[in-house]
Amino acid sequence: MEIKVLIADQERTFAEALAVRLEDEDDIRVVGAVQVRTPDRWLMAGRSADVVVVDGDLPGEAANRLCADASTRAESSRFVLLSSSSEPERIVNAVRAGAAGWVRKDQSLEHLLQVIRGVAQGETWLPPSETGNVVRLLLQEQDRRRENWRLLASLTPRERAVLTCLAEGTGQREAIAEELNLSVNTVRTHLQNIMTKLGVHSALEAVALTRNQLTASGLTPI
Amino acid sequence: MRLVLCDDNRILCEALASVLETHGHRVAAIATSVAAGIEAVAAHQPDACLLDLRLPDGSGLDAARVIRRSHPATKIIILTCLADPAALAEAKRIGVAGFLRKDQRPDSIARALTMVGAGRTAFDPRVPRQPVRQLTAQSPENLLGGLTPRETEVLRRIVAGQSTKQMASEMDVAVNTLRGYVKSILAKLGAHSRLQAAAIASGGQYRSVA
Repeated sequence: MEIKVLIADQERTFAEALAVRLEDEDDIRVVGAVQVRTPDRWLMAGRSADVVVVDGDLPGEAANRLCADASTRAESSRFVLLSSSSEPERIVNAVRAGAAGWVRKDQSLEHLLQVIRGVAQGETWLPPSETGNVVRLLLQEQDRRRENWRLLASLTPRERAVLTCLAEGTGQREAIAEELNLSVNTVRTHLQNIMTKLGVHSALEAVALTRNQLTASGLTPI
Repeated sequence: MRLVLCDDNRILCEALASVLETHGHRVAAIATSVAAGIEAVAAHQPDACLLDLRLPDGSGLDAARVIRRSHPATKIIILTCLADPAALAEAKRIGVAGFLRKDQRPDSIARALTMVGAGRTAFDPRVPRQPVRQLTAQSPENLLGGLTPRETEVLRRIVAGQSTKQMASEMDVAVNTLRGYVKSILAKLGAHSRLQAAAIASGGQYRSVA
């Protein structure tokens, strides 16, 4: 049974060298080797691939978006992310987006072949040294999520509006006041209340908490 | 040519090795760090060494300097994803035989190596010798791609809401060093604050948090 593989990486040298090497394997057929910078869903259009080997270090977590997008369209492609790191938080994000494999770039090519074959069979392959951390983070996340829903639900609509400004990067009270047509003092009060209600010490933390809730619940930012 | 490949992307090295071997080159060893690269050149005395610039324990230029001194007969070719004119200038000063970018087909890299073996040099003509002024605004993806691996990690932690102290402790660096990373990140992203940097990194516009 032939495994159809699509390769997408920031570096053309890597994408093409990997394609040549994978084609050497009798059970693998490379359907594309593409250099990408800002991949969009058109990368997958018109190509049917069993396994997509994609650069997990693409800026802006683009690999995760590609993966999540493919799963919403009920595509059967399985994603293997290649990365120079194996930070558990990043692996968790990839798994959440639906990735089936995470391989560090300093592993051997033989290992990558093993992962490609395993993933094509429906297996999930993560670096064994990080599996414990990944599972622990996912469990912690579950608990935190329940708690955060409760906290966010306690915010008033005005407080939510202020939080939205923060999430958009507007931190100064004057700027928020102007945008929401409030006095600076009112904004200051809202900010304090938000941080107290959410149990955080900074605007950054407040936004991080919110963003996590949105991604976790499957809501994507517009 | 007998080669040592030095890049922290081992998969790239192994894949590239098979392409290079079909062009008649032989890869004696693969190294994934500056230290390992220098050691491999000493152990195998190759005709040439392909060196990446971004290595986990330093810059490829550090390795190049050492190899030029200890093994002057080994030709050095930088193979990088960055098109940095400053790095090119420094590499030439060190005395490398080539400077290639990773956006070329593997075959052209193989051919460039053959040229170097024949005594020629191989410098990618598209790497600018002077810095090119950015006239247009960069897209977020391009800005994020300009961060070093350390800076990328710090930015991820900023998005997660971590404080300076927490980041410094978890990354095992001094608080001042960490502040330096943050300053660099803000400058590269054109952001006024960590909050703005986090917004850029998240790449989305929030209409409503409800």
